[in-house]
Amino acid sequence: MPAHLNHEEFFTSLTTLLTTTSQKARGSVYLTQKPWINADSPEQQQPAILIRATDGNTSAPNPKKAKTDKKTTAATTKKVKLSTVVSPEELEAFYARYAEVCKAGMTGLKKRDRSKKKTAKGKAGGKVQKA
Amino acid sequence: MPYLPTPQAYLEQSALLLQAYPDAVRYSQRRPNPSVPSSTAHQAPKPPHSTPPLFLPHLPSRSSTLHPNTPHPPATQPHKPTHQLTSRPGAQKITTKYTFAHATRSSSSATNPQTTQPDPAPQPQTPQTPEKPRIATLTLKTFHPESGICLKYRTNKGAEVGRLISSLGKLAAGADVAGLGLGLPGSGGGSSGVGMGAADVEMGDAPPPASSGVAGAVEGGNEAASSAGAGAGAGGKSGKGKKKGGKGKR
Repeated sequence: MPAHLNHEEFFTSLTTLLTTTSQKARGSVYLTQKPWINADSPEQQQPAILIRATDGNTSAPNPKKAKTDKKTTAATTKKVKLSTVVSPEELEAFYARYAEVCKAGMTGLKKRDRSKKKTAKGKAGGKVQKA
Repeated sequence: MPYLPTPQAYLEQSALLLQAYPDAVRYSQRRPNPSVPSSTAHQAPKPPHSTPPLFLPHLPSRSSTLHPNTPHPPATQPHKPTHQLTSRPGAQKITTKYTFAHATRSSSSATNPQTTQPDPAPQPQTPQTPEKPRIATLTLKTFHPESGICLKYRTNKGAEVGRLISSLGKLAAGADVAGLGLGLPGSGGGSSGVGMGAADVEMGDAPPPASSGVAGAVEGGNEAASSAGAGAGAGGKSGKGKKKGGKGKR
């Protein structure tokens, strides 16, 4: 596991990860958060938050497919793993930025403005454009 | 795995879960005898389901019907069970998955014939523009390994992303239900549980008066729809209760 990134690097890498995933329209991005004990100060009241981001790829071969065809195992791409630790004081600022990055990066989701206009003006036009 | 119907319900339940299991460091330190602070657990609608797996270590033998799947070691072992190898044993983990579902129509096959046929030339471009072929899904999952409780919410609306992520930040900061600042404070959680019972009662009575008139039909339909939704939620909750046991034991 690589060392934790600082927030700036994390956001840069996360933007790249989300953008590439959205452009490919394929694959996933997993973002996890959980409390994280710092070994140095386990007694602190509010824990820091560990944020991880990954593309969910695995370098390990699929045990089901590995026996039948070896091409898939050789073709597996490298897993993208990002992580950062947010201290309680920084939580608010971090999450404001985090939400911005996610909003900007997750372009594969439905757009609010377009769908509303389309449904209001006429579903057929919207569907033609979409499909 | 059932999904919660609204983001408010999901966030509220997650906050309740956090409250019901104050997973502070103190908890993991006094770990030797795993017991839930039951007084707080019963305030939230969901956590009571989780108590059976936590009580399992006190069972006298392996003859219990619930036992075959339990990873919980017998009560004599003071160290942590293997499924709790997380950074913090009692901590709940929130996963946000942004994913493009597998296409039912194979996009890979569409790209293949382009060398021979001139027609599908525009088709290879479609996978590059994300909105057109597929819509991504955002799935939020709150998992509490200690109790096995898993809360999920799924959406494909881009407009919700910012709100959800900032709410996750508030959850991470340990905000309670009120601190989340949800628009509809009484919509999810405990109050909806109360509403469910009423809706279920109405559902039994709704169809007969619905046949009397058009307005009645409309009202009955609305009631049936709402109560059906509530019923689904209730079913999901009860189902979740069972699955919780399974998860906790695995």
